[in-house]
Amino acid sequence: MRPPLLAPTRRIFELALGEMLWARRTVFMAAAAGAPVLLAIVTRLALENGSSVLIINGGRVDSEAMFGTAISALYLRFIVPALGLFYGTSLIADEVEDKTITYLFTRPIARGAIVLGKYLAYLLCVISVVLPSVALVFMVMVPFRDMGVLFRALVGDLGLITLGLAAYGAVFLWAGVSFKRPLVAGLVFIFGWEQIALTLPGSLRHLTIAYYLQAATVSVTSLIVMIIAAVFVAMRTIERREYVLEQ
Amino acid sequence: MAKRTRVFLFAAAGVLMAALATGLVAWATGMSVLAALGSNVPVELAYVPGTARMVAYADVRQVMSSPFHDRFRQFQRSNPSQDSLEARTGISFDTDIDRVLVASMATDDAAARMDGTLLIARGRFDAVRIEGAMREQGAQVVQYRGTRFVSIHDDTHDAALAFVEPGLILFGARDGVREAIDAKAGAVDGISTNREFMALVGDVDEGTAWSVAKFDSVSGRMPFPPAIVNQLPPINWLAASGRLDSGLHGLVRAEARDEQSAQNLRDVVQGFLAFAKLQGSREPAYKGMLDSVALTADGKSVSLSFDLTPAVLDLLTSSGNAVRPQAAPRRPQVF
Repeated sequence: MRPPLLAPTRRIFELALGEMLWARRTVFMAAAAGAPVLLAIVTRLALENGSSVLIINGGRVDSEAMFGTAISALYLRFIVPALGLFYGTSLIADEVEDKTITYLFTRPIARGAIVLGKYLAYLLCVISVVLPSVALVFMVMVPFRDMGVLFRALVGDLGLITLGLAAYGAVFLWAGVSFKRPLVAGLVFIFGWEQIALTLPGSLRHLTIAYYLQAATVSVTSLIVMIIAAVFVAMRTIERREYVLEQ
Repeated sequence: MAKRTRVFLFAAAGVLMAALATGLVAWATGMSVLAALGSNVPVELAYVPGTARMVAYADVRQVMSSPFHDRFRQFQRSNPSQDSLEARTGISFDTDIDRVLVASMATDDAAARMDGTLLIARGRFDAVRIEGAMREQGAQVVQYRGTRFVSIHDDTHDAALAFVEPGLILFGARDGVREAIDAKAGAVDGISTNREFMALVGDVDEGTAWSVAKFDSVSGRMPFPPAIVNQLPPINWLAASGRLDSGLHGLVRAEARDEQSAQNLRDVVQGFLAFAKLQGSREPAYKGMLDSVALTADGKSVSLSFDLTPAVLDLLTSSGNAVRPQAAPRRPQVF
């Protein structure tokens, strides 16, 4: 008989969420999410005081363009992949490294529940930090008169960022479960492979996550399939893999 | 789940909800609460009734101090009409007014169109002197919605002035000024409830002067024969803005009825531009101006930007001097 999945997943989720939110690592997440807000405040103050105006190609950059740039260049290109990498790879890899995975494996619960519970905790943790950061950037950077026009874009961006966090987290969770040194490979994937593949002609760009998060080529279906597949494979991997803890 | 974790999650959700609620309010109400929340658009728009067909704004100080204005000073009218702002109140555009907003109300009667014009001016006004000057002309002073309202109204004259805020006056026909005060008080719909109009204002309010108008309200005053105007594709709104320095950097934007009309309009303007380039190619100054013209179409919008350099302005002023016709007698105007 297969052990139940739901109840242990919930227990692991609650346990992992508390640990994740109040860990020292959260300082990194807060800094990553807080930097765009600070940038938005500085930009808005500078524009309000008239001390500087951002002009590109002779045209004054409006709040719509500035907010769009913040979302694509700061969040989708940097913050979302970076958080997905650092948190996703550490979900299981840290337990292995700290040799505490044994305690979890000795409990009478399905190993898949450990992965699923930790993944859901990661998702809630990063969403609760990154989405309010986007919301603050929106409120600070966009004047009220433009908010109505940008409201739909905001909702779309929040959805896209959530999907991005889920997709990167799921893929790097699988990497953390499967490989011994997932962080380095993840860094190469995000800041090497994705950047190069997106500029190359042909179909190589389909082998990135960023491609499906770009406004012109966004694919919610592809991202959801990717998330489900990565989490499922990670759950299967942890159930079958034998972890040898180094002394 | 620990209490501090719950508190953190609720706080995060609160921030998110606040942004979404603000965005939703902005989206749902359009621009009606702009003035209340301190938007960049002129706050004087709060006095413009929703029936306005044309609104124009000018930073008078900037216009007056620009070299552009110096070139055209010679064309200014030297004897204003009886009901003009200067004749009725003694207020001088050159020295007393910092910025001005003019609104033209909906009316089918072309002759009465000027009577439906409202002027909202911000500057330095000597209320006692202005009121005295108007009283000498038979003006009566009443209170309207707590505002001092000075009006001259008989069979041939209709001019009223209200001191609505420190440094802010309304001037126009009596009913128009009353309607403006009503609009500010919320008793009648203001122009800021018109989302389409406010979106256009948001696009052009960076200039020294700008104007947004329903196309049918200005088509009769365009310097083209009616036969040509009638051939234009359907246009809903026309917006224009200009930034002044030694020259003029202008932008004219038309909002067509649909994308096909916008495309047709773009083709028509493109044709005119090609013709103008053919005609103006021999004169370097005109050629430079025509080269600066950029025509773009985006959805239902067609935009035309251009630069009038000092050399072109010199050419225009010299040709204006040569062909300027004698002023024809006209109906008394508000200003």
